[in-house]
Amino acid sequence: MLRKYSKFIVVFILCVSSNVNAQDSISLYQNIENQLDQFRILNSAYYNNPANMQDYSNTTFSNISLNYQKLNKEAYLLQEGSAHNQFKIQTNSYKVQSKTLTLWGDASYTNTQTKNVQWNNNIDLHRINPVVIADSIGGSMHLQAYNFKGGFAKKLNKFTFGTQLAYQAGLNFKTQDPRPKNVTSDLNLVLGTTYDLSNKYKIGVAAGVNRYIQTSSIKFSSEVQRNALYQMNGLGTYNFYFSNKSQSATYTDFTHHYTFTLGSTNNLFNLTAGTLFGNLSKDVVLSGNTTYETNRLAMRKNFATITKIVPLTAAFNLGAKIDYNKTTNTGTEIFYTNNTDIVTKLLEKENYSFSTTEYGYNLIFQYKKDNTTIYAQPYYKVLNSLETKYDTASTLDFKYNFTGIKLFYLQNLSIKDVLSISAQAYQRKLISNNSQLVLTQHTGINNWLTSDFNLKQTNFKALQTSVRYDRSLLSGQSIYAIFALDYYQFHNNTTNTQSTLSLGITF
Amino acid sequence: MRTKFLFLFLAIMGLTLTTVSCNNDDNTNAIVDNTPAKVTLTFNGDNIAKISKMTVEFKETNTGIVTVKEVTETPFEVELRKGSYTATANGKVILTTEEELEAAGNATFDLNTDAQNLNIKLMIKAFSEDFIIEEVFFTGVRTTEGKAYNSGKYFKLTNNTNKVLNTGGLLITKSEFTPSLKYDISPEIRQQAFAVNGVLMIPTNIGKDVQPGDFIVIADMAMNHTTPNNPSYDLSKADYEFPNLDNPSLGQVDNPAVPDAKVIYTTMNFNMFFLNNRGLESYAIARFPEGETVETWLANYKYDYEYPNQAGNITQKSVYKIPNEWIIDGVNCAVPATWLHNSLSASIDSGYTASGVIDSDNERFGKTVRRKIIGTMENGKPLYKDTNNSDVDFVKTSPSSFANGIVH
Repeated sequence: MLRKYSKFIVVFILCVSSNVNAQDSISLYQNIENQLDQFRILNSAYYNNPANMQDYSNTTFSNISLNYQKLNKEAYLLQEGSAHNQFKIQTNSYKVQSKTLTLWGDASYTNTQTKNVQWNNNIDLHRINPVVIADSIGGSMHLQAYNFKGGFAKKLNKFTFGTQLAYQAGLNFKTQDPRPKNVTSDLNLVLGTTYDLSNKYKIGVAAGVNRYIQTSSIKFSSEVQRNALYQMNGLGTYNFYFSNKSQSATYTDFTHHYTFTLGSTNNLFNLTAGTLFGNLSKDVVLSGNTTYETNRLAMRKNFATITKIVPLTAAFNLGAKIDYNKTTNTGTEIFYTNNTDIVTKLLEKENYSFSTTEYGYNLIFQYKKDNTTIYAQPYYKVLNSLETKYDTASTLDFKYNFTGIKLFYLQNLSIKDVLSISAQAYQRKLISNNSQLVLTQHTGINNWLTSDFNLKQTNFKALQTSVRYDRSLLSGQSIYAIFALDYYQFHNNTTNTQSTLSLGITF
Repeated sequence: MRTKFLFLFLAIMGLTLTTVSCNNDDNTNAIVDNTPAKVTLTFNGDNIAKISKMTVEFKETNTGIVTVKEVTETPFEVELRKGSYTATANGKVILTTEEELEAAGNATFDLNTDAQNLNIKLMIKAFSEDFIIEEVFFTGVRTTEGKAYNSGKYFKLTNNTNKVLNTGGLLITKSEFTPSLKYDISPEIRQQAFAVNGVLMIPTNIGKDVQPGDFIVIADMAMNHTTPNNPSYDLSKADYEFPNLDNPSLGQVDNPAVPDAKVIYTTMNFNMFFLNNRGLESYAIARFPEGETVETWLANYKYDYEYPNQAGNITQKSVYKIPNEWIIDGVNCAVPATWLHNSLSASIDSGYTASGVIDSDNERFGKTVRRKIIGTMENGKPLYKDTNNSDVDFVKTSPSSFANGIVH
């Protein structure tokens, strides 16, 4: 059913893409420069308000690409796996329908095989961690994910209204015991508006809702041996009563978020601030399909970013950007008693929290001539990560700084050839560690906690590079190839590498 | 057209915000913090004047956290985090006759207020001058190919007294209830009897005398189970066996040279008496009192019980029971990671032992639960620990005593 539906939408988006008029009025260089506009990447949060998508691009463009990615990690968090091979096909399109109406959409299919995933039988860890279903064996996870997104922005006098609907679906499984099957659906709706304060500035607000569901069921093919399944609560603790009793769980999350934007019409200044409220609930399923809510995760996120670009000369821009992000997940455990007729809810206990606070400071330099763009963004970021399990008084408290630079170089080689190079070099340095990791009585879980703890306190240096070559075929149509290589050198002499090859058509 | 578009947009926006505002309305649950609550602990029991020294273990069911307290006087205040608890007490008490004896008891309670009273009813531990369970091998082994080999299981019963005992009439029983599943059973008979789903009997006509310190082995098949690919044990010298010939799929065979213990009751098909390979059951040995026979027991000791199941319906079952007075020794087995309760009365076994730590633990295969040796008898035979608390009496996940076959 899902596949049938997916195919229909892919075909639809491809049809929309094919109707997009080729950019016969601009050169290949201008088209690629527009698509790879570093200021737009810098201000991606600003476009969380779909009404701002009206100014996303002055021109229409579409892409279809095939991507293959290979990741190998010697240093990794056990729940995330040590390696993956990923194949992805995606298409995206932005269409300026008229001066007052823009449309956009994208779709993708991703097939990922992740190796050596341990203590985790779920997907979307960023949403449900730490309340996963865990086992000590682990194995390779296979994931097929579909992503569809579409939106439009319409300008009415001084108002611009925009809306965006996105849907993601995932199917994840393992082919050895224990055999989880996870099915996810993730629906996002955002509505936004902006109002032109003057010819120079516009103010906007957006609100969005997100409904996420992950259903997990775990089976064993072996009748003589079944591994223990733990319903985890955080930092190595688990629900003692429901672990080994339940092999299924449902995670449901309802999130609503609000964004305020203020920006200049020339996109040289913008301010974005927002807040998000989420509430994820985990229900375990026992035999007979009786469900018990065991955990809730309340998520709160506040973010703000301000960017200012100052044109010094016609070719040279100088700018700065400041970011602030704070995310807090508060975990509530629901206790049950079986001292009554049937298992009944006894109490709720706030027992876990995980928060990250991040401040980022960026300087921006851009040199832009007819056939060349050079962009440099040195930055400094401070990240504080605090994870606490209250009943065991176990705490992971790390403070890092990230010092790095992003570079981008775009060169027009000829009327039919454009070359671009991106690079980012940075280092993560631990500047304080006030952790008090409390180990459990379970050797396997302790090994996991210790492995993750050691990685989190290890400094590393990273170099991420990519080279893109665009070649024009027909007027307004070109093909491109991207090769990217990322390299991470950890202080304990382990290395992670990731290579990506993409082939695409832009038109 | 523009006005229509604007109204449509505002309607969707309003619907979104309405959905958002209603989302948290049903969250009326009070959240408690981790501040400990005070529990005032007292004990009582028939003919018990006071406690001498009592070790109380509190296990919270949701977190598995265990808190152990040493108690020498009552009332005793203990701080515990709120939750659902099982409390197990083991220690010594002073009787009204001023005699000091071993006693044990357990209780379950929910702690969801800041202060609460808890009384644990103690039972005087029952010790008999008869056989004890020295070792149980219930896990089976894995072959070198990794396949399960579920035969070669055995009970080893030892004469831990200084007199000659006869095996005739011994009953070997296993529990109806599992330690990892706890229901609100009605009627609850644990303090009076042991609910069983299988009983083996050594008929009196094949009984034999056992010298002090010596042992007998009751194996499922009295044969050498060891082969090049099977790291099992040579049980060919077992004293009794209980092969099942009714279920051909088991492939069990009878050793005509070894007398058979008789399955006098089982809830399993094909008259099987089969040990759970995770040890999720309790075992007890017993003797019928004078005048009691298999027939009269089957006629008079049926145990009908019921409990509300997860679907909200009532599950009704019918098994048999062995009165606690008939039991001469017992041992609760469980998986520590899933333990919730014991099937035997605390007067028989107030703790539990295990082979393996986690559910379906691979480390359990080939391992047994075996009683600790605390000294030597006058005849040089080992003297075994017996305090009716298998948590301290037994070695968990122990190597088998028959690594070199059955040697007396």
